[in-house]
Amino acid sequence: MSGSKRASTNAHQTDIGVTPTDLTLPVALFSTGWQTALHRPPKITVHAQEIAGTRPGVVSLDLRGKPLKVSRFVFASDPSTTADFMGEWGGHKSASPPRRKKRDRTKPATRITPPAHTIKLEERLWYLLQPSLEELLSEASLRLPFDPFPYQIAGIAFLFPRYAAVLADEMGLGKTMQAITALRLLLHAAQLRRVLLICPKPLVTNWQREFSVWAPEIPLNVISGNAQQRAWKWNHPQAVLTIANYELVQRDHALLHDTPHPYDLVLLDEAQRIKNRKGATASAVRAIPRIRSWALTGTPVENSIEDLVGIFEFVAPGQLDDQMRATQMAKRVSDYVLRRTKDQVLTDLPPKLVRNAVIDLTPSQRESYRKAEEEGTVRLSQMGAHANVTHVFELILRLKQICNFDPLTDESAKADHLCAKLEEIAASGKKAIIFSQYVVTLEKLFTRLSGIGAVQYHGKVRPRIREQVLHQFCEDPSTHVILMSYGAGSVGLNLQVAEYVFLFDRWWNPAVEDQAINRAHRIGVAGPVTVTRFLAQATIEERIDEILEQKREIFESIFSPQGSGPKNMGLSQQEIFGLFSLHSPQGPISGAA
Amino acid sequence: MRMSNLMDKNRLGFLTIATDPSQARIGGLLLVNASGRPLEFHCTAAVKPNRAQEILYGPTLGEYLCGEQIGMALCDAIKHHSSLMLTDIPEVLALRPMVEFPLLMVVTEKNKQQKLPSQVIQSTQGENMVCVQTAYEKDLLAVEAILQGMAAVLDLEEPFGRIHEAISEAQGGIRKQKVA
Repeated sequence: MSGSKRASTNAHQTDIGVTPTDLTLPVALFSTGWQTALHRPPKITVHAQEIAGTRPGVVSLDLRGKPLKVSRFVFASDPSTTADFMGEWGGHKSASPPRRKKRDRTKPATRITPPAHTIKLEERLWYLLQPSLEELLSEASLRLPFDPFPYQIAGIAFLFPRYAAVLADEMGLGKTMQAITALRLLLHAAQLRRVLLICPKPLVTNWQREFSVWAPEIPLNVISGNAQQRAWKWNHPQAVLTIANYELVQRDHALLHDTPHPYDLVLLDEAQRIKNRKGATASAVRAIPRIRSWALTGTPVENSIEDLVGIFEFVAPGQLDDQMRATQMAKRVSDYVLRRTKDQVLTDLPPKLVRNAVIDLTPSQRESYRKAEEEGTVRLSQMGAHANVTHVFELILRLKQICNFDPLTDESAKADHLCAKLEEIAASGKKAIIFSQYVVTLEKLFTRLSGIGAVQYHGKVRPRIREQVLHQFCEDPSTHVILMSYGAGSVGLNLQVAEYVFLFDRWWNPAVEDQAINRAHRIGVAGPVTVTRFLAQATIEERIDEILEQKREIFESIFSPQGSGPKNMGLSQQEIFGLFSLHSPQGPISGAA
Repeated sequence: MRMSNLMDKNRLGFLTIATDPSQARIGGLLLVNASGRPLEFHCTAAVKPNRAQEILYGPTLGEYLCGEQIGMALCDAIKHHSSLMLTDIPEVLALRPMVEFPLLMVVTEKNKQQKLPSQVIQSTQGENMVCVQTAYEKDLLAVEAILQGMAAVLDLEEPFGRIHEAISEAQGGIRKQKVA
């Protein structure tokens, strides 16, 4: 502010009564430098700062991972081309797949399970991946004339995957049908190409008949004729299923063993025929080159468990030996053997009523019996240690024949009883089978029974006539009785027209008797089957019967692991000698060493 | 897209997926002929999604695993080619855009309870109900023609049971081989 302006202010203030003060202040001027500074450009220091930073790392995740490992199984053949065997024999392959009938899905499906000893994974998978048997059998090309029973489906499922098998169902349960259907399925699946079926001679026509019912499309090649004819048939390159009997297999074994290609399957019927391992038949059969081995038998153990060892020498060599105990054997065979009994599976089958008819010998028979037993026993006692089983058997044979017919008078209490029963049976229009061990007995009975229509079927009847005899018995309403020997008539025949079975005399072991009875008591029987076993009272027959009843359980000890019965099915030497309580001055006679 | 011009009318494929106790998935494929008999069988190793896949695929994990990974690996393994593929796993339907043959899902008691993928059409084939993706509705016509040429009353559900058994058997057999 200038001094002049300051003075005027002071004058104003005097007017109002304020003492003026000298406000003149010393003023000094100094330079602040502001003017220079204001004109000077500002000094700006620039520092560059990196704010972007380093590029962040990237983690890549391969979400797809490694390529997935796949196990591949391509099965060997396409079963849609399996009808080749039909084309070669004059049949024709259908152009389109066969139409399947609708399956009842409420019924359980039977799956094929590979046996425990199937090791190869691909093979196990092939069996597991098969459709159910019911599905397979519903195909038009595999249709069956009758619906199988559920246990038969299970039997077919058992056989199908097995290279070694024994089907040991009780007689009358349809082993034939199960075997035919199983091999038919394998043929259709191209798993088989050449099959050999070996059976007893009397059953060849039976098998032909069964094939015509259950597998009519399979061409059969039956070995018969002279050596040249047989050789041609054995060597037929296109034979699909060859049927031969045991005798011809043994006779032509050289031809069989020299074959360039093994059989895909060899099937034995009544396989107990090879139970004797050292026999020529067993040797010939075992030597046949083959891939699969199946055996059918209702009596795998006829006399002793060694019989089963003999069969297994064919089915699975080395699997069994005769030093094994029954329980050990049962474990070893469990995956190879299937056995069902009628009680287990055919609860709907009419019952089998078995009864003993205890007969009093006629006075003349009793006298003859007494004399023969006395003389025979004395003779055996005198022989002492030189007496052997053969001598005892001779005596037993004689006594049993007396129980049937008196050798002097031809009287027979059994025959009298039998004839009375048969008259009733014939009058009611029914039929009966009579079994005897002796052809002589059968011939005598035939004479007595001619009035009620009887026929004979035993070793003396020519093979050519046997079929006619069977046909007559089954079809002719006026033929009510068939007289059969155990040997000729106990295997394989279907006689379910008969509702009565008479065992005029007893066989040595119950298995053969059961087989005989089951000619009648089997699938298809119309009603209950009554079995009458004749026993002459107070004779050796009663004593044998007691022992055989005890032996019946032995059979089950093989097939139920808990059992541990004796090894021998038949009578041991001790038991045979025990029938007569034989004693010498030196003590009990137990037979020559 | 899987290239195939081999429309063999006699070969039917069945594809399913089993889950093992550790929740890993194992795929199995069975190829059968006109009679339902087995021609080929293929099965995968066990597959389990890792954590990253679980997070990143989210709700589409099932389709990726079952369809793209397992399904594709099995279809690539087929030797004889299939004219038709059936599955009982809804997620496998996601495979359809990647293959040339018709792919249908058979409705079973088990998968009825599950949520079906969106965009599917249901139809009846014989005694079975089947599903296809909406975009592939033509597959229904194709399958009818193909099934007519096969067994008329083929049970479309039954083969899946066989595959599950075979998967168990194969896994056991493969483990034994590794030990040996």
